[in-house]
Amino acid sequence: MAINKFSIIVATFVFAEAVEAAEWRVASGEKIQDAITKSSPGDTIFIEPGIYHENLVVDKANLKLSGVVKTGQWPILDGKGTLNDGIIASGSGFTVEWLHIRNYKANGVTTQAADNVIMRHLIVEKTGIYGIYPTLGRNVVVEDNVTFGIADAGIYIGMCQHTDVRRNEAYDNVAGIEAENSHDVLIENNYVYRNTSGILAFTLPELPKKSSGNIIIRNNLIANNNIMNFGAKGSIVASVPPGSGVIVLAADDVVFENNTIRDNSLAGIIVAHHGAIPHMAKDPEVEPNPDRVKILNNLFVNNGRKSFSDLVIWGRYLVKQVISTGIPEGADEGVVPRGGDVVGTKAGTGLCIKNPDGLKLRDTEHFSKCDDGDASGSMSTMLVAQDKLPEVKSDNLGEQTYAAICAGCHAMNYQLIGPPVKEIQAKYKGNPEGIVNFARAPVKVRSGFPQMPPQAYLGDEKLRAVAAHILLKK
Amino acid sequence: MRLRLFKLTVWFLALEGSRLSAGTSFQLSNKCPATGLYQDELGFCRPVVPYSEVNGAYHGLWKLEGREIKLQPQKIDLGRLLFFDPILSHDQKMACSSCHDPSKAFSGVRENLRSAPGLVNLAYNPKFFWDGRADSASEQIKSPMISPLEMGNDSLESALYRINTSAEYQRLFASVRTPKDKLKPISWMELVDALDSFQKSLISFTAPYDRYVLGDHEAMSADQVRGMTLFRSFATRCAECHTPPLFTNHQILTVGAPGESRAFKVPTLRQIAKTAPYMHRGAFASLAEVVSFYNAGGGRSGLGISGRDTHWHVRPIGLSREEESDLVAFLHALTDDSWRIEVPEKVPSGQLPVKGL
Repeated sequence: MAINKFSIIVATFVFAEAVEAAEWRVASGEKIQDAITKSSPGDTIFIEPGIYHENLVVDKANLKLSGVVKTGQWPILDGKGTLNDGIIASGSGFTVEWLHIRNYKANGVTTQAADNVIMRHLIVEKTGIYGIYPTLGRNVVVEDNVTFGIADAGIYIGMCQHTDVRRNEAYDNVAGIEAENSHDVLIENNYVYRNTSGILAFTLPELPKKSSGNIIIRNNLIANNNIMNFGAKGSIVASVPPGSGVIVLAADDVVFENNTIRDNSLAGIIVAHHGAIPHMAKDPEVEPNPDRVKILNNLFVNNGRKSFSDLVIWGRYLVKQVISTGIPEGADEGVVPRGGDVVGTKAGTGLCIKNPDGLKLRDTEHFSKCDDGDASGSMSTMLVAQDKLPEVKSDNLGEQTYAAICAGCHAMNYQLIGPPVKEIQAKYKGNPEGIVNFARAPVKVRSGFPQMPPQAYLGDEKLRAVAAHILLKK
Repeated sequence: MRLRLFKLTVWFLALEGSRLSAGTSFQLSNKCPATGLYQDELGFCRPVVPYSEVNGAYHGLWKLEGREIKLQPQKIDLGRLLFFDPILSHDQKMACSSCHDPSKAFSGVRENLRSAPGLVNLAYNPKFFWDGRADSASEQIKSPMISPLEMGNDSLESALYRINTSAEYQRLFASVRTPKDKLKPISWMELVDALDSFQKSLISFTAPYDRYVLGDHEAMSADQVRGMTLFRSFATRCAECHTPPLFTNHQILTVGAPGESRAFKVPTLRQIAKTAPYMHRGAFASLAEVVSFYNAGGGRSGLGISGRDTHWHVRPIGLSREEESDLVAFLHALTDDSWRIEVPEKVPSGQLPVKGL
């Protein structure tokens, strides 16, 4: 197949106004990153079917990466086991959809401190750490994705606020879906099966966010999470016990409603405190107990029963634990915990089960019966549309830009690297546009001075603001 | 009587003379120093944080937790004079700058002791010292002043006494007070306020990294850009603790560096290329050694002190040589050359200023 290596990305501009969002199209054989580099905030990049061996970085606001699926053919981001990450994005308002992401050493797609993020219709396969991983974001939607073969969590919500995780399928991962040190998380209508552990709601130590809370786990099918733990040695997830449908670790205000939880060989739901985990780091700022965990109406079937193959996996898990971390010390619950539908660890307050009759319960003496009125229904976390970020205030745009960019070379009264501001003021008095034009494409004016680097990247708004500031500066 | 008058005159002249030679010329600057600050319309110095202007996108950044920093230029300048003045130590030989070397971003290694941490962006620190044992400027400044291994004062009072008997300091402190307090002795909190104003004035958000993030794609080289992508990747997890834009998440954690096995504060990486040797006791001479240490698994690797407390993010990484050098290149993009630090040629005590290590 002849691929023109030098083919240029086909760009379809929609020129109504200068600020109008553009659309870009990337075809097989081209680089997606080139399109990202050329794009502006608000643009959409369409990716045609094909295999792309890239590690994408998106540091622009409101960018949309949208795969084009044609007759079953997907665009595939393939790290081939050599690249670290599929996509790293920091721009708020980021949307990524319709991509198959596979074989990366670290994460499939991760957003870093981006707000208003949508990640949907993704297939994420075989990554070394997480599949889909928003971190430190507000208003995140993770929906209609399939993740499998992930050596940590298929979907990992890290230190986020307001996140919806719904209609996803997660299987053959160490953890299916994990919410860690996050608040206001809705995990709903997901199909989570054949992982080591299905869903984790964790508060972990030694992270900058010190608690988790207000997590709803609703209408999920959580089944057969019994596979061998293949997490990386030394990672926290490597000590997650196989056969656990859901583990709540030190998280508060977690509500379970209308889930079907079946055939998890250790337990349907484990509600644990830090002391139950061997070698858990101590963090004085983290409250180690799970509080106000409410288990409302759920269907529990056949949890806490080990088949022969489950026993083999359990034995291998124990051996691996002892080899990697030594004989557990300090764990309250012993080496082989007893199983059941709901397993407690004798710690935490305000815990309750709505219909305890007929359930196989272990160490849940400290659980009460939930009130009749308890329900999960009132929470809504999907705020992407309502809670847009505030627009930039440009009161001191010129001052800040001057200080950040210009002041390194220009001083008021004396020559630093470039000429003093006083001389610039004299030359461009009443002519801020002259400064803007010069700064956009500087030419060498004086011998003995290095040529000023072009500042066009600042954009006209900042350039005009800084030019006005320079002329007014005292 | 005549002799006595003569003696008095001589004493008076001597006193005035010493004042003159110590420099009545000391005039506290009303301009903000060139250490990442700008002057607002009321004359206060505020940090240049260019990111507030980036519309919606953080461009490779995590959010900078809001904290208002507002400093008086005169107090910064007074703190600067005190910082380099050995008057604060018992034997009048050691100044803050004896360990916090201005040419090393105010850090410094010390034999058989923990290194003096650098002071860049200290204004954002919730805790001080390597082990985070102090959570206020007063506590932090007190510690070296009365430590027998450092400034060696018997008490804070003895140091304050020396400041209070310096006519020049009396005049300078009076000049930053409201008029009704002009005649009061200089208090501990005033001393803290001045020193703290200076140490908080050392701000950096204008390194090549920041210019790159703001859109100047020439600001970092290709290897630095590759290094930044590695830095952010979960392959390394660097940014998990050294979180931009401060390049620290302020946690106190164990990584297992040689020297002492315990938890230490995650230091900022801004100006890091200037602060060799590295880690809490200067165990590594270069950034390349530090990166190799982490690449091998930190305390878990045998290159440091292993322990169960080693943070769960510190694990063998498996970077190639080239990737290691890209990371080192990126760390150099955090060097902010816009700082213009004015080391005083003379200080109010009349002693010689200590200009560094």
